Formats: sequence, structure tokens, C-alpha cells
Amino acid sequence: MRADQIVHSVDRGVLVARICRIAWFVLLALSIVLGPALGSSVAVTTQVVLFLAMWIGLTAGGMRQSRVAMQWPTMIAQGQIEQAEEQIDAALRGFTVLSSVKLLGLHHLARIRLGQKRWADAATLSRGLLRHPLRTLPGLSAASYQILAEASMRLNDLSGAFVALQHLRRQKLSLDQSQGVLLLETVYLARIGAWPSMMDGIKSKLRLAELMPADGAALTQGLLAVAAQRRGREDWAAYLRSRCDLLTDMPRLAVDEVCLQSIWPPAAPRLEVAPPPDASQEPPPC
Amino acid sequence: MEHTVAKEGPPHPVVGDIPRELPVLEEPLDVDALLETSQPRDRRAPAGLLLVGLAMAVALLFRKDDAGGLWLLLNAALLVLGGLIVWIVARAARRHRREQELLALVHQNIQFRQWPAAAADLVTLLSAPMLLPQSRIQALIYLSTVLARYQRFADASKVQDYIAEHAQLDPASEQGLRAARIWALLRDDRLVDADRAIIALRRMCGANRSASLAMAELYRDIKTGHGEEALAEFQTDLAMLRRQLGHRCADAWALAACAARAMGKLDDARSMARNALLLGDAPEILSRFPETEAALRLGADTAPAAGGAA
Repeated sequence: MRADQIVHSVDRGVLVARICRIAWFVLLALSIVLGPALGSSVAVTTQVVLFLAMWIGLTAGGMRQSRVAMQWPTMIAQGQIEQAEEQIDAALRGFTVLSSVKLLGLHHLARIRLGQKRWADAATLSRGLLRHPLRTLPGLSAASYQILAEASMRLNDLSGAFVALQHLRRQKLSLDQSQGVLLLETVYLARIGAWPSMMDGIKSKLRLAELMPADGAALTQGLLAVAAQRRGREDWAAYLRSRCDLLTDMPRLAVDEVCLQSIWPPAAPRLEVAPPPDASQEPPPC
Repeated sequence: MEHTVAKEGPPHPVVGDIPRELPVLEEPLDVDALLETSQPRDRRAPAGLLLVGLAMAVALLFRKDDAGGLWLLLNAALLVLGGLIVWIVARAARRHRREQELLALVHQNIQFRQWPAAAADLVTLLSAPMLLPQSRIQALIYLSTVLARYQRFADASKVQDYIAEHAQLDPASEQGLRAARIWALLRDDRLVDADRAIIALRRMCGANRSASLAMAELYRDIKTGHGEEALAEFQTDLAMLRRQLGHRCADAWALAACAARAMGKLDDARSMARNALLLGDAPEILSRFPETEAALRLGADTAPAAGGAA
């Protein structure tokens, strides 16, 4: 199924679940309020108990699906992508009164597509998810905006990435999410050539970057090194360059992140001393 | 917009001003008491209430039409019971959210090395029965980290043994826990126990050698004076250590510098120590591995401070 078809199917599923929930409440209220006037009390009580049993059954089914959904992050992390995709597909196609299962499925599918470098699909799925209110799923909105920002940046849709980053800025983020946002923001600022903004609060940025896994820490600090070099801060540039070289193979990262190539040309020995930039000229973006 | 771009330069590696005092621990971390009080409470009460509610609903279903007073009483009781259950569930949900927030805060404080704050939050968390056993185990893992930071290695080992005995961890967490226990044993100079634990960890890792195992072996070799083996292992494992540890690879560089210094390879030791100080923070490295102080000073710009090792 195409990404937009999946989004439509989830929209439909969420709508049907909402209608079912409203219908159930209305029928239950009618049975309680109007029942005694229309039928015998035993019939009314039976009806109410049946309604309750039906709701408990449907919710239990939804809870079972939620438990399955809790396994998806582990499966994705362990590389069992096909199995996770199959389960998500089944959850998206099936009926549930709990919309959260479908929304979680959509989110994890977007994560999988991001991992598969299918940027357009990841962006479509995240946008589709973010149209729904996600108040009952804390953290999901921030995680989806992160996917959207990254996918947009990969698609060179910088305005889309900017909007996603603005949304992320307004949210309360966990430590892991703050690290992800710092990385995305640094990549975005490097793409638009906002070198002075990149150097703002560099010490606190480094503090956060130090907590990231090796590649993320190296990419963030590598881009900051480029910013420092463009601003003529050779002291910071040299310091960050040395750190990055200790963290990972930077020319490998430079293959995907063009901005880094001014310091680490891919598959070539890196420049030891970069020429100081001409302060009178504003350097171009990457 | 005015950009207040870092006017100062990047940090310089400094080892001369290591704080000799540990941060003040305001909260008494009584391990036995915290292990006892944090036990999740038996949650049969809400289930009992549900059963009572169900029995009342059945009674209502089969009531006789002339049982007016009793019927009203049952209806009222059912309403009160429903309200009570809703209140209990809402309260549990609120407590669960608070527990998760505190746990995240402890994690954050540990990451940013705010040890007194982490200790205070852990005391708050573990002083009352926790809702979820998994959250409790996570809190206990954090507690062992904080205890080790305050050099209470015997208590840290006790908590780690408790976790190993009572929890079913995923392989990665179990490896991390075992490595932390080995480190605590080595810091406590229980070398034989540490060696046994390393063998067990090696068996558990199998062919997939992990950074935690490599670090444990590196530290063991430093403690037992096998510098040459330590350097050889470091060279072999460096790529994996870089990949898995990120900035924490500073510890490995510091241990390698210590080994190189012990072998008389002072130039190597100096450049390794510089790498350690580039990636990590001297006081933090030294709090974990005080043996590396002399080597780290080789890579620092400043002269050694009076007073010797911590």
C-alpha cells in the first residue's frame, strides 16, 4: 500500500472507532434514561449489562493489540523489520475501538520508512499522524515531528523542516529527544548557512552532544566545527575537529552530509589547517 | 538578532584542580531500607472492589420487583463503588505519571552528573512502594550508579546482586549491570571476585565482544599491573570502543594512557591522555579511575597540584 493510502485508511479507522465510541455512549445513556419508561426493568438491566460486556470485550481486544504494539520498538531496534511491518499492517487493517493502536502503527511505520531511507513515505506518514490529536499519547507528537524534520531535510524541503523544528521547540522534550532535536537543528542551520546561530550557546550544545551515540555526537560537533571555521574561530574549529576524529570516521559521515566536506573530504585525507575565511564576505550555505 | 558567539575559546585539558571532596550527599541512602520500602504493594484491593461491584450488578439483575428499598440501596452502593474505582484508577494513573517523570529526571541528573539531585530523587522514588516492578528495577540500577559515584562500592554491589537475583533483564541491560558490578568489585579491590565475574561476562557475551567487557578487562589489567596486555587489548578493541562508547571512550583512553605510562612509553601515554581529556572531563574520569591521575597529568597543560591522588 502507498503511504497516502495508509494514511487514508488510518483516518477512516480512527473515524469509525470514534463513531463507535459515541454511538455506544448514546445507546447506553438512552437505555438508562428511557429504558424504564419503555420496557421492564429486567430487560433494561440486561441491556445495560450487555452493553457493558460488549464494551469490556472491545476494550480487551484493543488492549491486546496495544500489548502487541508495545513490542514494535524492540522489534525495530533488533532489526526484525519485516515481522514488525507485518504486525503493523495487520493492526492498521483490523478494527479497534482504541485509536491509539492505529496511530502508534502509523508512527512506527514512519520510523521504519525513515530507516529504509524512503524519506517521502516517512514524511507523508508523519504528516498524516500529526493531523490527529495526540494528547493521550505523550511523546508521540515530538517523536513524529522529529521524523518529519529529518525526512523533510533529506528531501531538501527546508521550509517543512523549519516548521517541524518550530513545533519541536514548543514541546516539553525528554533528554533523548533534546539530543535528537539538537542534531536536527544543527543540520538545518548548517544547510541554510546560519553559522552565527550555530555558534550561539556552543558550550551547552557540546554538553548535550557529549551524551549522544558516537555518530550523532560526531556529526553535531563536526557541523559546529564547520561553523567555527566559517566564523574564523580556528581555536574552536581545531578543538572540535580533533574530537570528531577521535569519535568516528568523519569522511564516512561526510558522504551523506555535504557541509562536512569542507573539513573532511570523503575518502580523502582531511585538511590539517583550513584557510581563515574572509571576514568581509558572508560565507555561502552548504 | 545579536549573536553572543562564544567569546572564550574551547576548554583546555586541566587536571590540576580536581576537587578532592565528593559532593555532599544530603540524603541518607540506606540501601536495605530503600530495597524494602520500594517493594510494589499487593494490588488485590481494586480487583476485590470490582468483584463486589460485579456481585451487586448480578444481584440487581435478578432482583424482585417488590424489593424497592434494597434496590435503591444496591443502586446507591453500586454508584459509590463505581466512583471509588474511578478515583483509585485516576490516582494510580497520576502516581504512575509522577513516577515515570521522576525516573526520567533521575536519568537526566545522572547524565549531567548532578549527583546530589539524583540521590534526592532516588530517595523520594524508593521510599514508597513503587507501582511497576520494571520501574523499580530501573530505579535500583540508577541507585547502584549513584552509590558507586559516592564510592560506596559494597552497597553498589549489594544492589546489583539484588537486581541480578530478582529481575529478568534484557541481554544489553544485563551486560551493563554485570560490567558495573565488575567495576565496583575492582574499585573495592576484590580482584578474585572481579576476575570470576569477568569470566562469566565473557561467557555471556560469546562471540559478540562488547565495550563493557572490554572496559572491564582493561581496568582489571591496570589493577593487576598487566600494562602490556592492557595496551594490546586497547589497540584491538579501539574501533569497537569508539563505536559503542562515544564520548565515554575517554575512560578507555585514560586507562590506555595509564598502561603506556607504566610501560615507560611516555610519548604514547601523553598523546593518549590528551585524547582522554579531549573527549571527557578530568574529574569524572578520575572519580571512576583514580589510578589514571598521573597519566592524565601528562596530557594536561597545568602542573600537578599538591596533595597527590584522590
